[in-house]
Amino acid sequence: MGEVTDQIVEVVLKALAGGVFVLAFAALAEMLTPKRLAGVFCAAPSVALASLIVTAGIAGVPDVLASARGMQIGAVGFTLYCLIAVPLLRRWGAWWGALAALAVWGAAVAAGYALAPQGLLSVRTTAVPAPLPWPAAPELSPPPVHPS
Amino acid sequence: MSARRDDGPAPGDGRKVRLRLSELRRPPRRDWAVRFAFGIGVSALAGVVSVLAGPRAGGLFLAFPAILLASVTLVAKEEGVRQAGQDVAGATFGTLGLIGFAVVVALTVTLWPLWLSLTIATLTWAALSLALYAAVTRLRR
Repeated sequence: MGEVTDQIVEVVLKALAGGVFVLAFAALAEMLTPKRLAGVFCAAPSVALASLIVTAGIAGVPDVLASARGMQIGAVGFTLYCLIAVPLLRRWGAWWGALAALAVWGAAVAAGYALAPQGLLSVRTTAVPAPLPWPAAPELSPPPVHPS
Repeated sequence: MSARRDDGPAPGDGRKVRLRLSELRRPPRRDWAVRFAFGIGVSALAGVVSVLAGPRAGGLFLAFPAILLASVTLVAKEEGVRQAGQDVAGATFGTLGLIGFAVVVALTVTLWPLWLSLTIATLTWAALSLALYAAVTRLRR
């Protein structure tokens, strides 16, 4: 019961923090001129920042690392979403075009999740321990040569 | 969802990038409430997936295009599909910045304090997205 309560608290905290960060980035986008930059802020790391901060406070750095690896895949899917959404919007209109592009995001993310367990380009960090030099291989002296 | 162009170009809408506090009064309160609600919804979704399937699966939803999706449908309704398409094209640069954000966090979070890792990652997002946006805009002229 305690674990379930903790999980609910974690989700609620992430949700509230996400709302606040989305508002903060929206305010920044609103204040910023030229307004042409508004689109860039639709892909701001607002939800990511909120979620990663709460994750670090509750679960610790290893979960932040795992989340960041997952996010790399999600962000590649997001880029594909944007690239394909522009022609789909023109062809099928806002709702159907955006939903069809969302299917592309889902497919890309599912494939990336299955194929890239370490995130993009198998990014290595210190969390992956390097092979230790100890115990070192004993230096073997060459076998004695017995002249026959 | 995004900063709107209600009355054509805003004052000072030239090439210079500026911050104007007075612009915060332009959107109605309902717009802010919708933004807050979408932030809550997407973050809750990422949190639930993280609890049920692990942090790596939850991480996928940290770059979920829900906020853009909402923006696109609203903008298309108010300003037409062409304008919505331009917002999506702009968001493409933001998503490339998001990839940089996630890579920087993965590379630094075990080495640096969290605040420093997230600050550098956010600056990376801003620098990458705005630099790419500026470069492509200049090339098109």
